[in-house]
Amino acid sequence: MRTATSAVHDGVRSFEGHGRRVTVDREVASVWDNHRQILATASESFGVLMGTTSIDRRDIWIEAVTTPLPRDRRSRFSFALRDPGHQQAVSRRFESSNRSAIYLGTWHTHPEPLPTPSRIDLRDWGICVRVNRGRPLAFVLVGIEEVRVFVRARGRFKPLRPDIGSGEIA
Amino acid sequence: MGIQTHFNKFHDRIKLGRQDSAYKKARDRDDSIKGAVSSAFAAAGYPVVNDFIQGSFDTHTAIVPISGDYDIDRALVIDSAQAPANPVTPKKKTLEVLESRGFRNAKIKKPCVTADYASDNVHIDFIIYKRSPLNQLYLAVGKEHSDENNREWSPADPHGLTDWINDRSGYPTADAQAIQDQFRRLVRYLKRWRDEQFSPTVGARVYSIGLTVMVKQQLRHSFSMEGAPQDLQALRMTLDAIILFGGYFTPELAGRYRVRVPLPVLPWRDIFDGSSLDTGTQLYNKLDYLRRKLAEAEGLSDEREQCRILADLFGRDFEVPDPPKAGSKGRAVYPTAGIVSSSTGA
Repeated sequence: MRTATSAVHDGVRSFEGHGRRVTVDREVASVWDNHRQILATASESFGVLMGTTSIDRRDIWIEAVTTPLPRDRRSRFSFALRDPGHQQAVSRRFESSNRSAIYLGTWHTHPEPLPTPSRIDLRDWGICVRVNRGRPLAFVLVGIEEVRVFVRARGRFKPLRPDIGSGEIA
Repeated sequence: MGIQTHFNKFHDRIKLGRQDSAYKKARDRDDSIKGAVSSAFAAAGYPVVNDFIQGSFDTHTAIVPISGDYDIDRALVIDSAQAPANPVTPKKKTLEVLESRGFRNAKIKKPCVTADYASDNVHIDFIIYKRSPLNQLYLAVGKEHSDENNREWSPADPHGLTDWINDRSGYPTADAQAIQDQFRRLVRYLKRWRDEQFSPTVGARVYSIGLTVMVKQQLRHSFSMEGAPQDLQALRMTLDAIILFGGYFTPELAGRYRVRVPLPVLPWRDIFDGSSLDTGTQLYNKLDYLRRKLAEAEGLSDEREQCRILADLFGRDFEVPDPPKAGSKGRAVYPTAGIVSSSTGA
């Protein structure tokens, strides 16, 4: 049997492109690793991204994530983020970080090796961007083998390139 | 910083000057063998009356070889009154001396006698000229067994070619030096690109002088409003001109190309005369790819991304900077935490 790995698992925790560089905290990476939908029966996992950005907004540091909460809906092929606990986590972090740690987007798992966003995903990301103007957002798909990070560039969501050899940051 | 900083660093790494120590060693070899060839010429009745190094040092377009092999184009001039009628005679004499002095692969080629120095990475081409009373030079053309129809003393103007390359009279006076400097850098970039992107066999046929002449003729210089050089843009625009307007590439059957670049001085011959369709096709395709990738790099705002593309084209001497360490930059402060919308996904 082939051993499932992920880009994040392999030590790549930085993603670049389209004027952004997204760096993922080691603990966040291991959360994603543990939620990969390797088992056929596993439900989708998801949550929000939290962290800080550089002053010029080029760097995005994903420092923490939330995971599914009781009032969310989840199945193998879909989810709905309904529990108010996600917003509460974001707000708490914002207040305790001197207003620098913010909501940075969402993550969820896909039961496929190399995840690609569905139309539902793209529509949802568009809404997230619309209600959060003035801050850079990233959207993470955690596949079975690879983690992919997307940002909006020129009106479309585009994947960033994993930065091989950047695993030793932080 | 800006991408020009990275081009400047790259240029500093690849440029080769006369004072470079590795090159000096090559020159020492050259000096000693030049003495031996000169003595043999004198003994044979046609003493050397002048000598010079031909090539890219006088035009400030020499680069550090990635192969580690240093090339020297050593020109020897004899007087036309004493020169043998057969231009191959002094070339055979040169070959004898080289073979007796520890050179390997010594060989008479059509325009020169070529040899590798056995112990060092030195490759010397001996180019023999005769000089008329009016100071016209004639190049000894012909191979070892060439018959009368395939050998000649052919009019040539190596100094005129250097002057043509160094000529800046076509540029606005106030900017002439800056433009000429940019021209030299572009030539060096292209030569290193050639060394990186072609196999050694094909690369050896993508002649430096051919690249130099194309860049000189099609140069599109580029500077910012403040007068700072913009080499990325200049190179891309110059390549656009070479590919689209230069007339150097003639399409042949099946997507193949013939490359022709006439010498801008005597004897006006095609620099790529006798080169294969394969060379022309590869050069066309790779130049076209290069200009497209340069345009892509121009469109990016992220310097590291730009450098990555450029490093793919120009090799490791074009450095990709490390990403700044997390925490080394200040964090932005926001008015609100952001809104978690009731996201759905699939």
